Amino acid sequence: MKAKRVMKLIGGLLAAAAVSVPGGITAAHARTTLFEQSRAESFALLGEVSKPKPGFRLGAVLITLANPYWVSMKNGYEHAAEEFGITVDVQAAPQENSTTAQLDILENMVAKGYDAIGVHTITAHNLIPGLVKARQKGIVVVASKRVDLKAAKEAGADPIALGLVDYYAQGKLGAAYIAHELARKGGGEVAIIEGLPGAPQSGARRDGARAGFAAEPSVQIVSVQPADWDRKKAYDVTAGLLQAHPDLKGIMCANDVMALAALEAIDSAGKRGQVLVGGIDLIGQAKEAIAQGRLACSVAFSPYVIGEIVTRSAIAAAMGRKIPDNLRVISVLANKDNIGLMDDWK
Amino acid sequence: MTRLIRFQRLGLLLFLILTGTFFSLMSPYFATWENFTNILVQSSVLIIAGTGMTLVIAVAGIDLSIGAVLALSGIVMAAVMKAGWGVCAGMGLGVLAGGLMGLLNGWGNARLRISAFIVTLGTAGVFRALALIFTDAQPIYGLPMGFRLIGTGRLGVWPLAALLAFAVVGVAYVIVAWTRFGANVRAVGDNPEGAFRMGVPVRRVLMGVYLLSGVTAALAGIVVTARLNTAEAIAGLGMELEAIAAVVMGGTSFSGGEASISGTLLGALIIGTLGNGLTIVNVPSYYQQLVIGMVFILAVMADRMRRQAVKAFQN
Repeated sequence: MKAKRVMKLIGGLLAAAAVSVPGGITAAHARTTLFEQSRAESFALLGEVSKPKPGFRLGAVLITLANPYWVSMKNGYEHAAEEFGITVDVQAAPQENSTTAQLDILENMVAKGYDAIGVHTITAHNLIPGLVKARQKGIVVVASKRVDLKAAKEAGADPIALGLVDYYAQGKLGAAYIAHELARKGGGEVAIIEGLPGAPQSGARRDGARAGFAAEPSVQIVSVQPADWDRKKAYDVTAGLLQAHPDLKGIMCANDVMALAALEAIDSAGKRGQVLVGGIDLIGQAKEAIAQGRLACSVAFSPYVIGEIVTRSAIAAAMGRKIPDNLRVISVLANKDNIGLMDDWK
Repeated sequence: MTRLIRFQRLGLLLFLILTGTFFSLMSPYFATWENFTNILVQSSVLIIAGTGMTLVIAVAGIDLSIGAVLALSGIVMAAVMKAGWGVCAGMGLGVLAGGLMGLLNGWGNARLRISAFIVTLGTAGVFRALALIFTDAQPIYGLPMGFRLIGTGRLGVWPLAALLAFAVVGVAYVIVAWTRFGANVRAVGDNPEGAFRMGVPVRRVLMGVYLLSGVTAALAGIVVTARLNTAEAIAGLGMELEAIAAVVMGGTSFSGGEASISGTLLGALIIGTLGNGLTIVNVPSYYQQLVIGMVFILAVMADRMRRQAVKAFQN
């Protein structure tokens, strides 16, 4: 475990040293990767956190571990736990839409009892009964702001809610980049593929993408379709879009898994390189696709840093500190120009 | 025959007790009343939906639409309550909607003679789509307190959701064991041709079975909707497969002709206990699915070996 971490560190240093300086990044920052930069800026919003009492137990309920994004967040939790000398148990629902199963897990963890629990809810309401039980047991809960706080308060829960990610800004950042690239070639028709209809982050990313495209008059949104965060559905939706709109020039997808599927569909339609595709999350496969020049961009905030931030704020809150409202992870846009500074992104 | 089924249930009960003992030894947090009620509430949806599925599988049918029925009937009841018609009207109309959806399945299977697999696969898509269209994929939330109590409230120390599940199991047990309908269900599942010749109204039995499956799916929908205080189109995704697993684990054979309600109860409790216990002892979710899948296959294998042994003995 330790050897692995040392190897990682050495690898990171080598990567940082080998990085050339692409456009948009000043030479002064060249040796700090975007990950380290985003991490430091995010931590600064909370300030220093001291070590808790020995035996501090943290629980975490994620959405699913069937997606690299959540695995990375789990690693962030575990890294922070090691750093602060606490134990952490990370659990997740089997799938991204297992709303009831996720509530089951939270209730089971509340029954087990923890000093604090970090909660990443699937919908605005599915975990509220569990949050109520946590409150009754006096467990500190740090939740993403996706929780419907009004409904939670009415039910008798009082979680510390963190914005963590500005999903709207992410969709906007990606769409604006695609629009900007297209505008240089005269604009054209674009489409948006959203995730699971009704899921708040899907809606926010979609609305952000709409706004990002709308700001550029030379591009027109011709279609907005859901693909349920699903690789196969996104493939089929893209194939349909290409049929219906032969002149399609750009697609902004609400996550990378769907963006990568869109690229596959574009390839098999014989339109490789003719449609700019943007994703969100910067998963490993997306990083490769950007480096190969296939994927135009991906908007990245680090789920790893989220795991660390929630761990830090849970510790701070358990010691009675007030958590700043604006605590969030800083998002960045990765494209072919700066992908070299993202080798250590996780 | 009854003794055969009893033996199967005894094995399941033993396995459930062993599982419980194992988790109690592994973690001090497992064997608490609070956690026991967690298991009951979490299993209640599966118990209720599995009860209807038991009858369906007993007539050698299958109902792949119960997850979608759960979602759509949940949406109906939530919409009715949001419209201010009250909790009773909401639940009543929701269950009625579930019953009608079940009846449609039965009609397709019994009258149009489409195989149960095909007809319920089709209606599953239709009901799920209607749920999405009707809600525009937006969850309906903020339901009346009286309704939410079904998901979170207690009568004495017993969670209401668990009591509802036990009531459904009790009624189904009576139907299967002591009514003509119950006997007809087994007869149709055993040999529909023969049952028809003996004067069993086969079509009506089939319609009745799918109707009940729709009703239990809607009752399960009450628990899910009340617990989450939300009705949403994606509710109950994959529910049908879990229910089938609970039924088959409970010893009701896919080839029809037998119905073990108490076996389904035990099957659902085993699945619920495994999910709960594996979380408590902090087994990662990948491995949880692995364990539950393997236990399921082992249970079915053990059941088949037992049947073969009995057959060999009879010969």
